[in-house]
Amino acid sequence: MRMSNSGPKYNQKRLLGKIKKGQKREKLRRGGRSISQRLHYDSHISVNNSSNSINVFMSKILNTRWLASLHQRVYGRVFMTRKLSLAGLWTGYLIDIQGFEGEFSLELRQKENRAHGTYNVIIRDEEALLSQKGIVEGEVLQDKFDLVFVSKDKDSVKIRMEGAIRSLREKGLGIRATYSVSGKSISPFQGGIASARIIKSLPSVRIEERSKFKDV
Amino acid sequence: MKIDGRWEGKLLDMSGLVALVTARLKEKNDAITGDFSVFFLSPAGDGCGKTIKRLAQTGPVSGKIDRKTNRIQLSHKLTIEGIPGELAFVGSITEADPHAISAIYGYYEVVEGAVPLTIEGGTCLLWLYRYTQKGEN
Repeated sequence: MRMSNSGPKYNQKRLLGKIKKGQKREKLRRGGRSISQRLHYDSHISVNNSSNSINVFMSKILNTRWLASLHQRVYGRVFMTRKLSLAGLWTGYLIDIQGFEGEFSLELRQKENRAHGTYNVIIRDEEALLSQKGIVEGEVLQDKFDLVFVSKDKDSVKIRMEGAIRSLREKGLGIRATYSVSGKSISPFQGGIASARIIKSLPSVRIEERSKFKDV
Repeated sequence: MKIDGRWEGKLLDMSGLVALVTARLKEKNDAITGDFSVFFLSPAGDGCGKTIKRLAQTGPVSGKIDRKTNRIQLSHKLTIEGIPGELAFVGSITEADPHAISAIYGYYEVVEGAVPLTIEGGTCLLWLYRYTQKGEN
């Protein structure tokens, strides 16, 4: 009687093959996606993720971390979707509750949720003209911002400005804000309103550490 | 702080528009009612050094005041060509001595989904002065 192990071996091979095929199917079922599924999935991500959509898309397509990283370094800034940011040159008007009216300009840079820059305010009274320059620092959370203005003059007061950034119907961004000062002081700024619109956008840059005004 | 009276001031729109605002407000049980007028200012003037005021909008306002925080909310509902719109103002009342008795300052927004207006949202500051004109409260 011819007894051979080829049958069981053959069956074992077939079984192993089935397991491997099954594993592959399981792998496909769990994590694998067809190209069309991937594209659909990735396009869904790219729509929802406003800031880094192209990079996420590329990383999914390429499925290679270093290539995606390289792409982000090279093209990240070009394809970065524009968010509501304070970075830019702003010009606008302010009115104080003391009756003073003035013009101001801001040159701001933003990295993540930190904003930093300089300001220039000119208040024209009937008899006098006040010009004040200083630095601005603060936080931006989504469309809201909270900034602190510190003048270069030692005697001046800190001005805190809270407001929001809005997309204008016409091209560009606008801000509307109210400001206040801490305590009573001899200053034309006692609290008031300010509105401005962006006149030039600036790219995001690294904010350098400063030694002065760290208490702001 | 007193709400009743004639308030005068300006609004600064984010689009760059500046307008004069007057409002006549009354308060009863922390509920505010009244009306307002907005006049756009022509930056060019009339050529003789005088500023031209152009009436842009009048209408009723209603709202409320929180006496604990001195926060004020006002709303103005309007309809243009059958499309409803709303302007919402959120601000606070504070002393404005010596310039005026008090001031209301805050921001206004055109409620989303409403009819597009000339203004896009911005800030507004109103003063209640010591003097009263004839026929005013």
